[in-house]
Amino acid sequence: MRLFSIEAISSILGERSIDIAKDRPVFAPAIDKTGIAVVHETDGTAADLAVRAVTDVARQKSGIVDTLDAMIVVTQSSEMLLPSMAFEIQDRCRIHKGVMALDVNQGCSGFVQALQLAVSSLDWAESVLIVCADRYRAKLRPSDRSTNSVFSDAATATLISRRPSLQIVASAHHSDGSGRPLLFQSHKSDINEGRLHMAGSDVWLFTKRVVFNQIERLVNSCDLTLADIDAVYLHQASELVLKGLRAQIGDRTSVPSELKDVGNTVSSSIPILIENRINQLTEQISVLCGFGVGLSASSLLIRPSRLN
Amino acid sequence: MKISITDICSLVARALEVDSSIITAETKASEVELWDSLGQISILSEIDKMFDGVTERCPALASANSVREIFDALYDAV
Repeated sequence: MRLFSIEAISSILGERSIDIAKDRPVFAPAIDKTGIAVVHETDGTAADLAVRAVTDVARQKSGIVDTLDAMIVVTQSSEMLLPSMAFEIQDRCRIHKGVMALDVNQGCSGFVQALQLAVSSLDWAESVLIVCADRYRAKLRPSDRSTNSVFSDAATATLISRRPSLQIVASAHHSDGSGRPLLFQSHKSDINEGRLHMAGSDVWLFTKRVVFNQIERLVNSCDLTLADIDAVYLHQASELVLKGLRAQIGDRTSVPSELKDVGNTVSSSIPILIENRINQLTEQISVLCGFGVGLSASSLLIRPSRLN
Repeated sequence: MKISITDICSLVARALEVDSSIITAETKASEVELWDSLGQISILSEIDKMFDGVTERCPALASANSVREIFDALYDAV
């Protein structure tokens, strides 16, 4: 039995908003396909964004910096190879030294995976903070329409506690390292000039082959059908991806979207999606599903604990 | 279902939202500015609409970089 509560979520987008139609007219034809009209970029670091998100959660939940038991930082945008970003955030946010702080190197599946780890930690921890922070725009080739018209820099902080409000009923994970060449960035500048490479069509086919099947099998494993699920909160990849999955999931289940003015914020996309829907989450049977780098996909079926 | 190379030309033009006269049987992705990674996904999405989810059975379509390659990949699959 995995009972938990989402106590607070804070999200911070890169400070510079790029209106694609106005500021990058050459990319404007992409808007209908991506569903993204505005992306956000930062001149700072991913850690700078993360510190702002954590500070905001600490403002909402006073005293948390003195009592937090664990902090899981999901990022692929560390400035340093070591130590991990978690230590920079611990220090800059003045989180007490008794916290367990670590990074998880993961992309768009990262929040869902970190949530499973965080809830599992509640055997010994009272509260766990999941921080997602990325600065993908610094990785992109300026001329690459497919990535420039999609990715945003962002960070989120999600505070999880042991208070029984929600329950993870089941989980499913898919990790296929043979897909590594389809979505990668190397430290070495002689490999794709050190820039992000995304084989968009292969990744799109992966979501078609794997993601819906994972969600359907997860739901069926709980003796439910998709019609029993109130909402599926998907990683906000792009409208082309969401449209395909929405068609497979069907009309009876809500599939919310926050793409248009936010963009694809990598591991932050699901926390941003649920930030203003926490109350709905505590009333619904929901699936959270992240997918991408690895290639990977992870899904959790969540329901209110009062339904036990 | 029989497909023709003309069907594929129309499909590619529709997916990329370019004038149909630009796309011929010999057109390659490198010759059309909007036929990038995002354009390729639009083409795959359009193929799925027209041929009922065939892309899942035909992974070669992901890297089919010309009208001819798409036609060849689809010919046996539909």
